[in-house]
Amino acid sequence: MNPAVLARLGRDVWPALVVTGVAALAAAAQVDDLNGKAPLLAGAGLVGAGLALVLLPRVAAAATEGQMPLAPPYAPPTAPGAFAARVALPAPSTPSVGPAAQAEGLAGPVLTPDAVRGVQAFTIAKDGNSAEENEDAMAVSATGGTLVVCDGASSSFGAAAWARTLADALATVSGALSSESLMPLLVRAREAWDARHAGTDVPWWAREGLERGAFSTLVVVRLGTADGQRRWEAAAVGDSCLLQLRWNDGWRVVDAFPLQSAADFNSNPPLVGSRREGLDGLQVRQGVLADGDVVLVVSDAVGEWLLSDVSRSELAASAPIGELQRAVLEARQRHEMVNDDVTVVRVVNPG
Amino acid sequence: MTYERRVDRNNPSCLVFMVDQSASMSDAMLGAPVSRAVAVAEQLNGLIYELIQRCTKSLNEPPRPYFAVATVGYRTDEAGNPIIGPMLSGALAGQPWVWTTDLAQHPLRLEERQQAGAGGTQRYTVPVWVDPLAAGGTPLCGAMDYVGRLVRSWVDQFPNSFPPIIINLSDGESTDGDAAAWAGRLTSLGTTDGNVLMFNLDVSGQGNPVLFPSQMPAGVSRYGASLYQMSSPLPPVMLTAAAAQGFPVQEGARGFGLNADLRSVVTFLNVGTSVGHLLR
Repeated sequence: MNPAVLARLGRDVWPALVVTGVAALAAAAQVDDLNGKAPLLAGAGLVGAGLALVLLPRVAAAATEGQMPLAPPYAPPTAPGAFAARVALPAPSTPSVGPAAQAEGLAGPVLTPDAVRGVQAFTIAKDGNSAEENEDAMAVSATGGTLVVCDGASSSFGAAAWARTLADALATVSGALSSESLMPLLVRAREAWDARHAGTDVPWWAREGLERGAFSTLVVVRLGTADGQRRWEAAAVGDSCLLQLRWNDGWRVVDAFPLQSAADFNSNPPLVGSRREGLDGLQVRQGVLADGDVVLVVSDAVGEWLLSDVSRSELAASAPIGELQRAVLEARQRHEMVNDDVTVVRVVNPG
Repeated sequence: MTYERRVDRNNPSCLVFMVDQSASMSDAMLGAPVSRAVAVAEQLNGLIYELIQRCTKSLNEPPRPYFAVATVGYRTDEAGNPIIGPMLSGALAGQPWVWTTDLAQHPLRLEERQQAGAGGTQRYTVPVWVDPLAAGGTPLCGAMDYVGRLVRSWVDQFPNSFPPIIINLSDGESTDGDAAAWAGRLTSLGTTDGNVLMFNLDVSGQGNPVLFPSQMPAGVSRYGASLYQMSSPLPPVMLTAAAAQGFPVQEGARGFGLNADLRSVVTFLNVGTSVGHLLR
């Protein structure tokens, strides 16, 4: 293919394509009756997650022939100089950012969520795994202003199905993020996961894992307005993260939640179990958004990779999503990150 | 950085279980009504079971081939000639390496056991791959030579995998020379992710139960001391996992157990986000 066309594809088509995938998720995530629609939700999730990769060659061909409507190029929405003059900025000199996470409770003033537009996202399974084996799951409720990433624990049984079920349930959250608003959704997700395995003949090697249940991290992010300010509100268990990036003579991570630095990541994060009760380890917090801030919701491998080197912030915030995806996969190939499932959901605060 | 490689189908790892089958293994375990050989067979079956649990993802597929397993028994015949080789029988007999997928599909038998508890009698299934055996001498050096060749072929084939782990279950009395030198040769092998790890379980019965000590355990026998000396320190990733699971490990903790249950070591293996810290 012509290199110029390839470059244009990287810049223009990927975002359009990926947003299309996420739109399917958003539609599915709006369904209220989780129990009745669980198979549909799971299916929609898989299609959404796999869409970008599956369709790329066809879309590329269509674009070459000039048939593909192209989205506007992705760029920082404001001029750096003007922006910097308007916004007072913390200037972190190390990758460790943001205040410590708050214990579970009301995160701050009541947030009125806004619909999110222009969500860009990708989720890709471990190298060597199929899309169906991806144990990361993302769900977006565009109208509810909610972004969710769940990362199923690889060493637990049925983790992919649990992460998918959990993400779909959590995307339907309404009201302030808290254990009170999330628990009913968690209960429904647990019932749905149980129902998947009911009545099947279980071989000896699966009995213990099934009894223990699956485990997953979760991060639920809502964007909206509170006290006259644009804010994000997030609830998290484990190491799936929100990263907030801002332009200040270069892109920087100005806040991260619930983990603040690359050193905080390990193989033993708090997790939510499909056969456990309660919501141990839940943290909630709000952050204030400035015009043009970029919010990323990511699973752990990408979060650790981005927080370990400030120079990656520019790529994360402003590169076309397809380019970011390529960079993440190449970093994984180079063993800069472990061979893990990777998920990125990106949205710009329009101001 | 070493010992960081995550185990998956593209990057499998291997475990070698070396099992002392000498006559001394028919002696009773301290404080237990079973012989050392019976206790070791129980541990080995348990280790293989735990390993298979690490490879089990869903009902839709059998446990994955994350690990190749070699089970190497060592003893001598009546004339003192070493008998060293694979221990599995049945469908898996004679194979030097067996994938976890095949181990799951071909246990020697499934034993139905029951245990009385507060909530009534609980029935459970125990898969068995090896039976106890105790005869002849302890050709530990010869066994390490054999294992060295096995492991060498593995690291040649999978040079970037998480390094092989050798777990020796023994009462320590080598009858064919200085095992420490052979252990040094074994642990000089490695992959790009680190050197071979050698862990030992001493079932000689002397000394109080100890797991992952960072100093020579008090009261250990001379043979146990030699097993301790040749045991690798737990790499940081396993040390972190052990601490997260509630083991009182300290810096420099070695992969060594004395009259203890070593099965937990398998749960330290990195096949992705661990849940072990939530299950204790």
